[in-house]
Amino acid sequence: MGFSVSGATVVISVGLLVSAATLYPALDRYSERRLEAVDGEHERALDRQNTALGAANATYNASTDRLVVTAENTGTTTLDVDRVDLLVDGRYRTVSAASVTVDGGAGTATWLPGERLRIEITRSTAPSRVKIVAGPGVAVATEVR
Amino acid sequence: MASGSVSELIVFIAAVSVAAGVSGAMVTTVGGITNSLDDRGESVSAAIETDVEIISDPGSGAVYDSANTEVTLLIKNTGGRTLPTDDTSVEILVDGRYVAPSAYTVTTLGGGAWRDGAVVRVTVDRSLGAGDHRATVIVQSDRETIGFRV
Repeated sequence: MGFSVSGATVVISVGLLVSAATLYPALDRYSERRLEAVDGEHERALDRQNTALGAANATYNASTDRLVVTAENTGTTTLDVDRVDLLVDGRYRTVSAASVTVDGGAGTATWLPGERLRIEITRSTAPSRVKIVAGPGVAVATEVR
Repeated sequence: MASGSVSELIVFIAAVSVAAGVSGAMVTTVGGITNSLDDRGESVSAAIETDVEIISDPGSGAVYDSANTEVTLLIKNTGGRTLPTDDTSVEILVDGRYVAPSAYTVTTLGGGAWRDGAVVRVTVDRSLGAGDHRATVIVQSDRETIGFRV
């Protein structure tokens, strides 16, 4: 009887050890994956909180068919120029890198705090309203003068 | 004496066999739990990394096109991963009513995948009367609503 109990105990103990060895890494992976995702979410929320756009300015020159939109990065985060979206009269307008300058300089991909972004596009009709959306979804809209 | 040893051996084999069965069942069950935990971890992290914003400008009056009876929504991926654009991942409600996948199209502006920072255009075929309306976009676990006037 003693041998039987000992043998069964050993077999159950091995089963418990194998189960624990299988379960622990899975729990660890789950926890790590979740923590990484939560960290990323907090970073995005912080970026959004620190992102602000100053009042935009939009002017249309009917003689040259040029619409010029400017906005200042009044937040404390660096924004990506290629993640800036422009809506003209509510319609999405694709902005080429060549039509964007930051503080007068072309060819930069970053829009630093305190700098003014300028987008110049060609349009045959006068728009009435534009909206600029920065990377984290922070937006500013203005009437066209 | 010999019969006592035989019966002890039988009890031993029986006890070890039962214990082996219990252990095997336990290991199999824990294996299943492990697989479920991995799947759950993946879906939880995907849900946390999913974030979208409706960037349409309701002040421009361009959300609803009365000539074509279409609602157009521009949705920016502000999350941390590339999102699918199929009708099982993007769902639309207009004024709280579900819109069938056959009644809307999702187009990635600029082509390619709906990566973080990219914008998709959702065009919903829906006739609306004059007044205030609401459109809700559900992208996997994230939900965004926009109010507009016709």
